[in-house]
Amino acid sequence: MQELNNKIAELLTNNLVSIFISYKKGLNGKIKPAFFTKPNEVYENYFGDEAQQNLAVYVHKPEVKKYSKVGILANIFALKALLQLYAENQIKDNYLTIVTVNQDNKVIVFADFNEIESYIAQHQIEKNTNKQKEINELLSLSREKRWEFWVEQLSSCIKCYACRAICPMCYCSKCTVELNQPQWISVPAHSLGNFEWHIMRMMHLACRCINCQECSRVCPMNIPLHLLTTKINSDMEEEFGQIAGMKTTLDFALNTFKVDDYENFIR
Amino acid sequence: MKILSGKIMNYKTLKIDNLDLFFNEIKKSGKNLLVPKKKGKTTYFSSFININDVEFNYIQTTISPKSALFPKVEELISFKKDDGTYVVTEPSIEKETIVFGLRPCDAVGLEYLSNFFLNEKSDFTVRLRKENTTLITLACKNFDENCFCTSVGLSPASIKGSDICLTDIGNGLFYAEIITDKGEKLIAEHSALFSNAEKINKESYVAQVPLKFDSDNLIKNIKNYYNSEKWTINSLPCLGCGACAFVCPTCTCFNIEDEANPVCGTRLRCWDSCAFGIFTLHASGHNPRPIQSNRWRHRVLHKFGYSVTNMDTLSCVGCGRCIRVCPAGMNIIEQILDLQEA
Amino acid sequence: MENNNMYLPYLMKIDKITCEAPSIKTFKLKFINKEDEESFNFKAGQFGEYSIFGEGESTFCIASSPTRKGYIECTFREVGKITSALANCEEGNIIGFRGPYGNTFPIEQWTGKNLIFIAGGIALPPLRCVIWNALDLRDKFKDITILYGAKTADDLVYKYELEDWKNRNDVKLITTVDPGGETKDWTGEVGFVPHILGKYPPHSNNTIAIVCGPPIMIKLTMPILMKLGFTNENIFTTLENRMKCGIGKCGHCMVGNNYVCKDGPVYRYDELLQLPLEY
Repeated sequence: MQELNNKIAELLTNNLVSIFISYKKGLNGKIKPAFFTKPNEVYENYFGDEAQQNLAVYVHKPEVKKYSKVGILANIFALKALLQLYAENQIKDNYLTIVTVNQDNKVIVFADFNEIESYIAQHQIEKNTNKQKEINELLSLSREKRWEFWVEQLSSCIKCYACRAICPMCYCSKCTVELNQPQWISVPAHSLGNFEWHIMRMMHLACRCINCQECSRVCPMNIPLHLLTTKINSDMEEEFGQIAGMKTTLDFALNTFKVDDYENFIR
Repeated sequence: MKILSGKIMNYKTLKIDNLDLFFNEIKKSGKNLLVPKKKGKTTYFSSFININDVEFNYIQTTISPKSALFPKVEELISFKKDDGTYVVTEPSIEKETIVFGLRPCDAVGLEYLSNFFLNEKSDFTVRLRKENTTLITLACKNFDENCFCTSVGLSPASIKGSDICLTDIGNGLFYAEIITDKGEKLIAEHSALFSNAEKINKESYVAQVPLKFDSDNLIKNIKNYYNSEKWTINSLPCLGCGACAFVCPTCTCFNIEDEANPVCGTRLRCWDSCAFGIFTLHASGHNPRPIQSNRWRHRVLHKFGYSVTNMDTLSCVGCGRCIRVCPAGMNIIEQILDLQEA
Repeated sequence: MENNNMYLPYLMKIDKITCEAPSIKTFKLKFINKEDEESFNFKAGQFGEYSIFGEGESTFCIASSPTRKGYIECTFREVGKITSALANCEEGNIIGFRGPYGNTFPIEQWTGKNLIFIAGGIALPPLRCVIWNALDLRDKFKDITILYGAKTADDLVYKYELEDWKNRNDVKLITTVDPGGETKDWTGEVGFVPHILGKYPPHSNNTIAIVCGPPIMIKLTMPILMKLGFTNENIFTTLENRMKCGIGKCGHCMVGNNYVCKDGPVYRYDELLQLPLEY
């Protein structure tokens, strides 16, 4: 921790970053994002298992973008999100200084996104077996039972859009749900409107979701939203061999057409 | 209906073992009974089906009981095309509702909410629901670091806004304070389950919630805080979702949306939040509160300043839900302490 | 306590549609129900919620004068979902209307005073209501001056009425267009509203200024009025914020503790200065 704090303080002191996004302990003991602008604030820095939030989401917050150079402490999910954002041309060159702490508690400052790509390749986190189990359980159900499951889950949605707000990949300045000419998505939080919203969001995250599961963590109604994106991601991997957050360049499975694409969806 | 705020009409006891009977009797009488239920980490109010899925082990429900008066989606009018013109009809308001298990702070929150909707231009659906709703509050035995009812002038024992207030006094007994005619009427309908009791001192049976901040000082100085620099840095984590507003028992903002097919449709009211960027966005593209710090400031000042001016009361009841639910760890207590520190 | 559902709209028939300028239209609306028409009353400055059933409601001022009974008029620009749906309506169609809402211009207190109306672009409609109200009670007021500017000559609304006002000898009308917005046969002024105001300085003595326009126009006009000796108490304006309910409940239009829909939309300039800059 001391090594990390020294690093952050050093970046701020030498004006290599004008703000550093990390974590600190809140008044209630909850770990929350911290935005350090002065070296003397860094003593509050926290990094550990409780630091869950994917900080990559702040990279596109307008108030953060006002700072000329931003430092960010990235766990493996934030690294994947940042790499995916880079691949989607959402990060300007020389804007971010990305820091991580590896499993041996060594502080790493990445020189560029190629280094992040190879770091991610070497640090494959174990697949969340529980998550796979949940999906397999759902898949083993009949179509009707699965429908019932999602009707029950999604009907409870209150459309607070915490899932969208917390998601590093949801960076559209105007979300589809806010477009009303035509009205793509029904605004009220009734079952139909909720289905439209979550299915649309899932489709927009196909092969872009980096599986940090922040959407499920923050959902006030405890809806297991990650199941939607995890499933569509595994379909994308199977069909197109693509996994989000792994490479500096992408060929966007859902945006590209190739003559040798399977057309087995036409039946 | 007369509400004797702060005056208790009657005292009773109810065996906790008899709750099952009580609930089933209410259900049988055809009323809608809302009870706390648990789904993973979330506790929320839902219609009673069976005593086994009623949740009793919670500091505070994740979702407030406000939907009993102000649901997340409701119909304001419905309309049908008819020979070039329209036939417009009003919704009929549901059957009687009993809410069980809300906390004393919630009862105050719902009182604020209904006072807000019923003052000046009285809101039709909220008024009908309010008339049809009986609140059975459960006094708090426990609290957590996010509870701050005592800092906003309330307590885990307060009866304000409740129709009946239950306190667990041990030995398998609830002590019931019957506060309103509505409460009296409900008890009378199930009188066999309740025994007469003397007034007791509840203090030793309820949680002692520590004071987090001085609200008198806050109200006094709130005007000076508008231009504080702290809003910007403190709101940096805020991601502009509506979670805080939607779980809040006193957040009343809403949106109106039409849904229709070519023949008929409805005009719906749905929850909205001042934290959303588009909440204030003009059609021209101009936004009076263009950045998140403006929106966060508006929410905090509304709770502790604007409603004091407009309604002569704080519109924060210290339930702590916004703190518990915030995806980014925003904490209204921290914000207030930080403002007061200057 | 009122017992009715505040969200129940009046049914109105579109009696006449006037195309004012590119994407700006005026509707003349008549009540379907005679009793509604008889009980309906409003005052200058108030607004309403106009709705297309199935699309939703949109907020505009009532642009006709309360002295003209039996109908109301509204003028709107086609910018969003509902205004587009309204723009697609034809004469004879039925739409919804809720109102009148909000406070009013204190016209009664202006008896014996000079009035100057300063408007920019699509902000003339809220003032048109007051202008006609004053013109219909012409004897009560002294000089009436109207300064109205738009981006181009084409963007001026109520062109037929501007002509009417120009020809009246009891009204002084100054029209202007932004530089480059003039046509070949343009006879009015060329320049931004604040500049033209400086060119034809009105007397501030015993004069009420009613100003309405885009924020930048207001910002540049106020210092000129101050220099001319107008006091904050003699300047009035009307605000437009996003609104949904119109009755002080939905929270969208809040500026500080003020609900523009019920505490406004008309503000005296000294009252406006008390509000945080969130409009």
